[in-house]
Amino acid sequence: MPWNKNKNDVVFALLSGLVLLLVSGTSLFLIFFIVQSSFPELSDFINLWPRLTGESWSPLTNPPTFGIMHAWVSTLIITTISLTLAVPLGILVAVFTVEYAPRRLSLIAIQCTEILAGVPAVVYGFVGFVTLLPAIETLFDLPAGETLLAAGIILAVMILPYIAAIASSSLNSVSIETRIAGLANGVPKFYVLRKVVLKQSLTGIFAGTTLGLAKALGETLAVMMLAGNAVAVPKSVLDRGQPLTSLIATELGEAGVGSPIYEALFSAGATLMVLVISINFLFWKLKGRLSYNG
Amino acid sequence: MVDKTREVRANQRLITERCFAVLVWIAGILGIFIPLYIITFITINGAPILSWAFLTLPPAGFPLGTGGGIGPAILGSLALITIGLSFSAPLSILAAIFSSQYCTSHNFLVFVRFFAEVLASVPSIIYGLFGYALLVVFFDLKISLLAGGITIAFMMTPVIFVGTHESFNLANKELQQAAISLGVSRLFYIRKVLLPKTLPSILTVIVLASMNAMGSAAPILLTGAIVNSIGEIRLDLPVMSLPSHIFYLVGEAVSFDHAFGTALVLVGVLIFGNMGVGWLKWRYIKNDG
Repeated sequence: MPWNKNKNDVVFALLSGLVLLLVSGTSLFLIFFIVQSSFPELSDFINLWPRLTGESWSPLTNPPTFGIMHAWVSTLIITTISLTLAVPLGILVAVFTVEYAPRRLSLIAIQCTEILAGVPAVVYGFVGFVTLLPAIETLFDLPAGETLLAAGIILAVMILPYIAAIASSSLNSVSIETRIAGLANGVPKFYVLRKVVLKQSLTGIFAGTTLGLAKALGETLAVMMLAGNAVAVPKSVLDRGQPLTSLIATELGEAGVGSPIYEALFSAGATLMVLVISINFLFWKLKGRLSYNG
Repeated sequence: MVDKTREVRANQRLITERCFAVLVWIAGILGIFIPLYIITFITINGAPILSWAFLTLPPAGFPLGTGGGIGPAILGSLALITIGLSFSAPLSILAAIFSSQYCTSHNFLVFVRFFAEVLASVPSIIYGLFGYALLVVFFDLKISLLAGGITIAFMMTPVIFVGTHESFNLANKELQQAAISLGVSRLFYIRKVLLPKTLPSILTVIVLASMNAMGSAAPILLTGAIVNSIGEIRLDLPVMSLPSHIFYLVGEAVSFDHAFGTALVLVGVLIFGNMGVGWLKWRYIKNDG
């Protein structure tokens, strides 16, 4: 061993090692706990499927039903809306900052989108509540503006900075020579961009999208304030809905420990967590490829 | 004939080129406009209500929150962050030191890093769920400052761990060999070289994690927040917090004026924190060069 050793050193190594074990142990426990609480006994695992596909959430009827289909359908619709809006816009903003904007303006745009990432969810929810809901009411002639559409639009604004940031860093990693070579051959800028630059940064753009997706799935408060918290399975984007996250936040306070509603909420949580973890796994893989390419 | 088609094609290409440029500019201007709009909107509507009394007094009026101020919410947010940090910062920094200095198994490190990054992106509501079931119910802490603070600590730990681990690794690359060749002990290297050297980036990570926790209301709503308190900060009592207060004011349609004021304070603190982080990074780079 090259290091000069003394006794304190060993003690410190042991101490910090123990701390690492403690921290990772607690975290593993967290994941295990959430999954385990959604089906306390192995036989309950069979209930998971009817619960996920059950259309009716009515804890107060007799017998009570705990289908959480309305929740993940809402989550799905909101996430789709937000990605369809935020991914193209995010890519275009990235192209703007990297390729088109003058240097000053590009710096301003980067700063502004960074501000967007720092604004907390509840403030987005509030701003959406006072600006977006009235607009949707008048535009679609609805009695109340709380819709999946409203939640999706605000969510798009919230994930925009993440998509734009990763897309622009991967656009930046395409070498300047490639572009110059294209331009020197008289190929128009858009053509080079479309056929060469965007193609090379596709992995990065995809990675940005997965990150945005993970963020969108887990967002709670903004969505809860705008989606209307209705427990019917939504049929269109102008319906009210209650995504998984809002379901948990709304109902948990009234759920007794170990009661069926408690288990149902944990299975909502576990579904969400498993989804986000698998998306992150994908993101991790893509990021590895990204740094390898760059 | 041939010339003509070529001309048409060139024209078409020019048009696509122009259209795309216009599209990109529109997107770029949107990207600048949306954040500025949100900030200005909050500032214009929130500024009139800001006063010393608003920042220090507890909420008052009927329904509660139509009068008075947000003093307890500010204190509560600060208390939650403080408790969160006092648990998570030492633990995650120690864990990061072990993984960057002592751990020799590459596979274990890859696993820990992946695991930490996954945890950092687990939605905050899941932490709320965990905190509620484990701390509030199982350990019988009730909805309280302590339960909220520990939940926040759970959220912060992976973020601080990943950030500090990264900067320790970077510093190792430059300095470890030199330290070894001078014959110092590892502990000396960690205390006198590594920690002082990486202090700005440790602070950066801590500020970022705190701001992230400060803005997230979902876990605090489930574990530590209450709609009104007279401002007494005690570990076994629930507290008010800035984001949960906004949620209450808007959700129950109590007072939009007060919600704007609270939002302005919250966003102001977060932007100020962001600027602080920018300054720290800048100092870090300057010291390096």
